[in-house]
Amino acid sequence: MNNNSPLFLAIRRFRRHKLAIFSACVLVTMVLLVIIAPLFEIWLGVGANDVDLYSRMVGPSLAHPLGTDELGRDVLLRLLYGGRVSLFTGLTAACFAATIGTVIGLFAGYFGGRLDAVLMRLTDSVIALPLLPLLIVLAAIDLNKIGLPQAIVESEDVSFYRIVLIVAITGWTTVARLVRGATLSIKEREFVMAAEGVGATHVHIMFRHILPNLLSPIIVAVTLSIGGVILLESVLSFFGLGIQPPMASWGNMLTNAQQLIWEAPMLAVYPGLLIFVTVISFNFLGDGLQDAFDPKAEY
Amino acid sequence: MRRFLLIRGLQSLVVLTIMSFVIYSLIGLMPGDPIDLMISANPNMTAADAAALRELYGLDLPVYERYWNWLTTALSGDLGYSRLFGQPVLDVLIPALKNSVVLMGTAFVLAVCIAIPIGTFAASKPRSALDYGVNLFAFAGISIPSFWLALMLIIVFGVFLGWLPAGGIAADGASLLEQAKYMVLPVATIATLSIGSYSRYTRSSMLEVLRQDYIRTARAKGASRSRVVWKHALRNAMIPVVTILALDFGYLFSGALVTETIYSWPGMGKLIFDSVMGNDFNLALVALLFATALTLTGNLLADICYAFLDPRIVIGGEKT
Amino acid sequence: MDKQSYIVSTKNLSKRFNTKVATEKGWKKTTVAAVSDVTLDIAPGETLGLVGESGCGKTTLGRMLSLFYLPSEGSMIIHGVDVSTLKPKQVKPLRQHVQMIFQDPVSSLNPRHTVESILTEPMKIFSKDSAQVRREKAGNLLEAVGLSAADLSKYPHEFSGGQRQRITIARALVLNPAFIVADEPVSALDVSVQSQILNLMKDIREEFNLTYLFISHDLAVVHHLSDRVAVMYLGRIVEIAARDSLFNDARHPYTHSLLRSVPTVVPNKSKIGRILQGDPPSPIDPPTGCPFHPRCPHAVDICRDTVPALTTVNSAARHEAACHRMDDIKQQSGGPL
Repeated sequence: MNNNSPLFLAIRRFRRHKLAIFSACVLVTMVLLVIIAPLFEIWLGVGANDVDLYSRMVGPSLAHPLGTDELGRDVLLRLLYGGRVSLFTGLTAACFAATIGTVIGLFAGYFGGRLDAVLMRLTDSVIALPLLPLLIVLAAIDLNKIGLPQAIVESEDVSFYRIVLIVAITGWTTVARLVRGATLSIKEREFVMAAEGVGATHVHIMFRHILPNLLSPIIVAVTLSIGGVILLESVLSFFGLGIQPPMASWGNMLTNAQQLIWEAPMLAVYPGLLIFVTVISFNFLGDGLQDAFDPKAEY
Repeated sequence: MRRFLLIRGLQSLVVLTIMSFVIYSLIGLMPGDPIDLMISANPNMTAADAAALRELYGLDLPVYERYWNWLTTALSGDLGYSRLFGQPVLDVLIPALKNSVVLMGTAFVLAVCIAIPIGTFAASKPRSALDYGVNLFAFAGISIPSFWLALMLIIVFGVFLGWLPAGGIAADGASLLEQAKYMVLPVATIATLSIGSYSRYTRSSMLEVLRQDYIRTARAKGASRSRVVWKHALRNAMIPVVTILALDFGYLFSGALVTETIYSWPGMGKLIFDSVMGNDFNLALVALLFATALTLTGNLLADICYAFLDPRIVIGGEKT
Repeated sequence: MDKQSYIVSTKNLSKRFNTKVATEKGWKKTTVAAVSDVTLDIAPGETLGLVGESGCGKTTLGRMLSLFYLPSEGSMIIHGVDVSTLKPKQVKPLRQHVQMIFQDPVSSLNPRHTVESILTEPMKIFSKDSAQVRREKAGNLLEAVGLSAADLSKYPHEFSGGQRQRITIARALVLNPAFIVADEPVSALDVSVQSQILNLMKDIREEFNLTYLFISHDLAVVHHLSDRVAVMYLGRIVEIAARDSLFNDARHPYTHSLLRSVPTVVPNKSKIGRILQGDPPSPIDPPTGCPFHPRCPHAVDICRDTVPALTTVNSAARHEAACHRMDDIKQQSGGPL
């Protein structure tokens, strides 16, 4: 491997970011833990959704390392399974949004002219909207009324798909602007003309020649947006509009914690702390990647 | 400049019109309709009665016709009646707007007064302990879930310490001190979130300016670092910051949905949340449109600020 | 020779671009003529050098002849096909006969593609060869331009500027084209590397039976490679001739000034003539009459009113020049250089 390759330099710059590295470790640990969550179920001998009304809100013990909630469910297990949902929603929705943004940005930047004008006005308009109130409305609409079959409306995962979709259709704008800007500059490079000169189609040029050169800024943007997505998911779930119980998510675990502040204050602390740690880790990681990929970065 | 304003204003108006239709349609997709609510309130109503009522209210019409009817009525000044509050929509909206401006305005001023100095200090001593501290705080501000921060503050100050009310607003005619007590926690919550991003913007914008040649010239002529930062650089560093602030200006009126809801602060944010959750169609529609219009205005304001502050920006071939 | 047997044959070729200019009252739409009224032929095996200052339209002409821009006016027959009648989508089959070598070897190679994928891409588009065959062909081409087949798996950043330019030359050869447009192919390279690349281009011209349009602002480089040379000024060809006839017997005052600007081995041997005054006029607002008249020391009234046509000076050398006063100037100055 050549010691002056851009990737090598990027890795070297990234290694200077101790916080970013630490965050990456935190996130990897967290992902591993939520993957092996079923092992914890076996170890503790209860399921994450198992209700036990005889041991409600008990403190930490060997049987329940972090105690139980108001329905006697094991808090540790619910945190692990909630983490699955929150992390998975964050990743999926951020990638989905980035895909939409990338396609829109590529088309706008590559073809320019009127298409660019229309797409960018659309982007500006979406950016200018009050996001959270509209998300609340989108999360509240009745899926029966838009003609979805009953089987889908009542399926358990529908709240997950709904939230991914909602975040994606509102969250693509950052990536779209970023990709458009970068496309504008890259399409002036002569290799694009060279590809045209050997008869490559526009789609081929956009996706095989331009897109690979945009991957690092897109990766940075996605990393930085995952945190925001997790925050959105948690707030919607907290208000009962996101992931629906009994499926646990860090957001919906806080819904009832508010009323139980006296009896079990820790119920309100754990999920929020995990959201906070996860989101800040993604933000530190994204920041580190940004500096690593940015050749101008000084600080 | 006038032409630019006109074009941008018209654009915002077009977006607002489109959004009014989108929001109208979305609201129509929420569970239940006014007649369903009447049926549940009055068990004697038959299916035939319901159908007749639907026709009477024009609910059997296609969505664009209903939208048109609503729009013409609304433009004639009749915004309808709030089901939840039993009052005309406007009578509910105006006090909420006032409450939001008081809350958000206080938080906004507080955040700006704290964030710009600390951002500037951080930039004037890059890589110092203060710089790291500001950076850490800024990251915490954009990463903390607002509802959780609110919950924690309520737990600590409202419940355990009991120093401050956990939510709500002072009764009319209460003393200023009493009113302020209710505002401390929500203002702290909102300000914490904005201080993070504002100070980061200030810091990076200041660092950008300090790299410019004219700053080096000023330093070369013997001006001290702090003099350069505060006298020469601050003005130019503020250009992007003011743009961001103007962008947030729209939120002053549309309220902080999460914070207001958790602290039961009767502002626009809580109003939107309650009306959407409570199937108050008229109120939700108007409140959402209001919020949209105000955010669009904030964006317009940001553009104007940018154009005015940065003499390099030429709009429509015309120096501003 | 009959028109069809030329590789390139253009008649009254023009290219205009739409653009906007800033005026007192905001942006105004206008057109700029980058290339005007160009008539030229290039025979198979011939190398035509194209010289001129930057902004004179030589790159635009090169891109037209390599099929990146369709003509606004006039006709353009390339490899037997009248391009001016084609729609953009019909151009593709013709592309395998016309290729381009770019100026900047850094920007003309995609940094995310290996040499192999750069070289096999044209084959993927135009032929049905198997991956194995494509790889073999790419390896052979690399060897033909002085690199090794082992370099196929490397990325562009692992090569020097000269080596990269060898890769772009190999890419231009992949489709076995008849005609190659080289737009300033050595101006971005170190002087020490320039001659290597020029010699490579000479060698492959014989080996692959190529016809070149060689664009450069550097007369020495053009002299090295060209059979004929055309001089462009403000979108028009002002003089065109066989190489030696142009260098020894230039007629157009603009060509004179270009030749004088070339550093000579023995300084002050010739009287240093008037060096060109001012910048070339903007093609957005070109002067009336002869495009060169505002800077021409010999301009008279007719130069300000009428555009001079290319007229034959020496039919044996196919020497043509566009100047109203070339006969007078020749007598005055007693011949150039």
